[in-house]
Amino acid sequence: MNPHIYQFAIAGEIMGTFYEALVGKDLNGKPTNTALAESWVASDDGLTWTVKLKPQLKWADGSRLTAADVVASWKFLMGSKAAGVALNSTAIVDGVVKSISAIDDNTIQIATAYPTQSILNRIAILPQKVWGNIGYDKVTDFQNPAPIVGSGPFTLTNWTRGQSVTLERNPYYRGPGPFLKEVRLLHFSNPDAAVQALRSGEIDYMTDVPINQVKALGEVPNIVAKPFQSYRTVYLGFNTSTGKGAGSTPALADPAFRDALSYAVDKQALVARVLQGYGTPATSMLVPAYGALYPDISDIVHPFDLALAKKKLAAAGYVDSNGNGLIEDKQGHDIHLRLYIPDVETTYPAIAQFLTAWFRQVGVEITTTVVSEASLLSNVADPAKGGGNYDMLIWFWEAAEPTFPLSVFQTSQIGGLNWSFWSDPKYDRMYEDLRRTLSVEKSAEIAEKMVRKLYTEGPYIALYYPATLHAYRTDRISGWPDSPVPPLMTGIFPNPTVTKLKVKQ
Amino acid sequence: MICLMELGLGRIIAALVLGAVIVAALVPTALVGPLENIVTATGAPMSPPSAAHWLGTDEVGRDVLNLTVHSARITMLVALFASSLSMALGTAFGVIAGYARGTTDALMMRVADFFLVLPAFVLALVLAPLAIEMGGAQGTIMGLRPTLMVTVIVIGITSWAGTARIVRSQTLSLRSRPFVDRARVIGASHGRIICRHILPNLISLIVANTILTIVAAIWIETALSFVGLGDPFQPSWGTMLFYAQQAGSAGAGAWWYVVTPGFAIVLVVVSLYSLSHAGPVARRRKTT
Amino acid sequence: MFLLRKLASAILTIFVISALGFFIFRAMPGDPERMLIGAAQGITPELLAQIRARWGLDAPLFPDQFLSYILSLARGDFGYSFKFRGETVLGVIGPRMMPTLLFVGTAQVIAMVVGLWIGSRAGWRQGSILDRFGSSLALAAYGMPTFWLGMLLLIVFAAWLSWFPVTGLANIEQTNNFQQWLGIAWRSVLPIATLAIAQTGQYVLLMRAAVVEVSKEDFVTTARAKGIGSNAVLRRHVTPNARLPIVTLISLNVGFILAGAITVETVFSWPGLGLLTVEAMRARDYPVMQALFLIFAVSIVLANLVADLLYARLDPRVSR
Repeated sequence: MNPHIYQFAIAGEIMGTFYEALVGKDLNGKPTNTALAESWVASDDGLTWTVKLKPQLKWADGSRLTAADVVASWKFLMGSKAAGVALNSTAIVDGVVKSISAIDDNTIQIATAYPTQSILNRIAILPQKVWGNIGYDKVTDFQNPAPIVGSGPFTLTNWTRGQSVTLERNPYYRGPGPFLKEVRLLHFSNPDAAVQALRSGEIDYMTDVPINQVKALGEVPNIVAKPFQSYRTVYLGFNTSTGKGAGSTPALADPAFRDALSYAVDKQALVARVLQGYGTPATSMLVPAYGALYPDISDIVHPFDLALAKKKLAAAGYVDSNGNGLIEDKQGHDIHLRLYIPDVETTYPAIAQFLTAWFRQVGVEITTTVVSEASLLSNVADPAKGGGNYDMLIWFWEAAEPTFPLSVFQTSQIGGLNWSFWSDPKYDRMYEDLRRTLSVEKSAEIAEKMVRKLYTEGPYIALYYPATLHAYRTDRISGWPDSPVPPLMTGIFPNPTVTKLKVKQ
Repeated sequence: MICLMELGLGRIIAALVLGAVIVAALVPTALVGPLENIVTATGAPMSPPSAAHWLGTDEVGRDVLNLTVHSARITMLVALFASSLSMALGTAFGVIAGYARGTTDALMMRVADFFLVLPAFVLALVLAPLAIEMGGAQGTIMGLRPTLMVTVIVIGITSWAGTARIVRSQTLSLRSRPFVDRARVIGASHGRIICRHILPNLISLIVANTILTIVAAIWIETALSFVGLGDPFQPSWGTMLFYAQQAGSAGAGAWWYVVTPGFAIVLVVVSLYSLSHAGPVARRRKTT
Repeated sequence: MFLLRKLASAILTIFVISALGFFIFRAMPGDPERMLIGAAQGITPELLAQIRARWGLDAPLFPDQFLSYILSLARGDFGYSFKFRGETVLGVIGPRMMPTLLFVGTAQVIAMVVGLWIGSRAGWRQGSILDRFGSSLALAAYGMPTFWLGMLLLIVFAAWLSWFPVTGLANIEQTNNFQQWLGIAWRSVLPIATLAIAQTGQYVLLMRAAVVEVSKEDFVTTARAKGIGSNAVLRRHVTPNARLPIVTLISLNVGFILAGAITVETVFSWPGLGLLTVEAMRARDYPVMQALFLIFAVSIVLANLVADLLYARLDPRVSR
């Protein structure tokens, strides 16, 4: 439970119930004062934020939470790069935040290198009583044992690695809520077991209901089982490298080739058959759950049309001239693509089978290999250093922060997260603009431009946004949200639901 | 008498079962049509047995009977190749050790003991993911995708030691027989003695042992596939059970999806045992 | 002398296994350091290099990494888990030990008592109803994959009859009150029953074969001829002599038990070493896999050692 090094979304979600940031976020991605800050005001040039904390904030042990805690938490991150450690939020402040200082117990001033707001809600404020003693040399090994004191609605009182977490109400929470005295989160490695436990009333809520059990579960009295929006985009990515580590054909690096292939993907069918309808066909890496930052590009969305795909391929110079059923690239070689899928995702073989069938009809052969994530990660490593050597992959991105999926395609991320090795200076500049934007409206405008560029020239085909399936009991607990965002795994901090749930009398 | 008749009947049934499985493995397409995938699936997901789908459907609507019959081919092919490899390794190792005697024998048997101690499944579980990623080759080898060929090799190299032990002790006793001495006196080479005099006398032992090796191979393959090391594009019975588990069919009561592949495994294993008229064979170790 | 030689050979085997473990896991493709970071935002090549250095991944494989590996093992230090960042391998494995010992141990005791009893009865009265039923059922139980039996029990007793919960220990807090212990026991019924039934089958078959063999021997015929009651002959003359091969077979059986435990824990999501093995394998958590491999291998070697010693005790001819 160390916010600096956690990797799993669930850990972030749990930590969100006891560690808070300065500013909260609502369902539309707009900043809210539901977290520690009462108000935050930018200077005229946009380079300095003055943040006022809510009055009389307390940690869960009753001691005061002051501006000093905030400043120390931020400063620790700001110094992490120089100290040579990579923490989860290092990149968020690196090169952005110039200085931070406490004006008084309740007021903080933050100077940034360029105008930006996206930093205020992303850095957890940690009690310096505990974290002040942890240096850079120890921070990545620090396990943060229970009980964990934070400022959020709950404190963590017990925790068994990979099995369970117990949260108790923070008596000093500023309110409203929480009404639940204790919340216990259990890990079931077998979703079946969780479904049974929910049916029998052993548990009140579960995430990740298996697709083919949602319907039956929803028919049980007092149980609601339904799809919610997730932050995940499943995509088909191409290796667009042209130098070392290039794919099996130069056609992969040709935007026209990739664009033509996207007409041969029936996203509706994938959603209907692979997800049994629990999802939405995707247009980009930005998901509908981002609210204002989900761009509408329906005017340029490609239809599923195999004949058109063939025509586009021919127009781009890819035709079957030797009549063997496969189209040839410009060097005259048959196009035979190697598709890699990670073994932990059991729905991807089904996608691969559909793609194989459709691509075959436009003259492209696919051979699929199932590999471990570790092995796939070595394929997407820097092509100059042994990465590459694949043609296509199916994988996903999932992030609550809308700028993240866009950051992936920067040139500077080759060797990092730019797994397609795609590079476009114009795109890089747009991303810099996005980072320096203050208003949500302006961000949405730039994001849409970026997405349009990715849709027509980008290195991937976004396949679908899978829904996340959750189920809960209504006979014991009330206060379940009526929103497209699930009760847990919202990616929205502070979580809008946990403080509203009540045990029925 | 009654007992004998029963044994006879049991063996007839066993032979019939195996015959049916072999037919399924040889011509699955003629029996149930080509292997269904999600694109060509014919049913609604997870529907119970009906007139159209005698054994129900799986989580994407594929016919379970179709899958089971096609999986017979993969399961049996993997088991056959793996046990052949294991038998070849074990026999070669055992014959050489038993024939050479002395220090060579002692050293070779220490190696065999090492493999005997390490259970094949645990070793295979460790080796398979590694080997699957190394064997990234495309296409198919002898009708199997590279992933499965890796499984074959892993099972082969982890399960030969028992055979080597048995073959070695038999070779030791054959070597001291008069006909071997006679052959040597007339100047036959070692190779000739092994091929002409020793191997032919080992055949019945090898055949009896092969059946048990096949059973072991089926088990290991099933268990490996069940923990997710199978190939989704060439399902075996173990792979089917893996997907049944992933789709939560046990908890959902989708018995047809769980029972069918498992029952096929039990039928084959029990039939093979009946034919070799042995239970788990007591491989007694010599405590020298 | 015999004991010493056995001990030396066991130690040698363990050393070879450790070395094997090292090379197998270092040969694995994929970049462990990338698994270490996961998909954290803003990875730069410099950060990757730092992580390599921190985890000792940039030292030469041999002898540097190998030597430090052997030294660490000697200290009982298995390094850090890749999947659970910052957690030691022992810290990950430790809590999983008890559930597996509990599960495998209980199942073994049940299987041995029931299996050996049925087996000796069946072997003593060949062709009797007990023999025919017992042997056929035992063969079926032995022939089926253990995890499949678990799935069947789940369908019948959890999905249809709802007598038992689907899961293993996962959602029980460590508390000392009786109610909770009862809860743990209740959850353990199906997984333990699965492993016990599968193992019983094997013991029945082995014991039956051993008894059949022994009862052909002269001293048994003599004892019977002397008019000693049939049960007494079985108890006093046959069973003690049938014990010998059984001891050896049980020790050879440890691998089979382990395989069963690994797959059955997966079915019931029983939070033991078996489930951890599968989880670690899927996450390619090399250090954890390596430690588990060593634990399994060493426990098998030890089981064999114990069997050898037992054998020597039971059969004085062995210790020359």
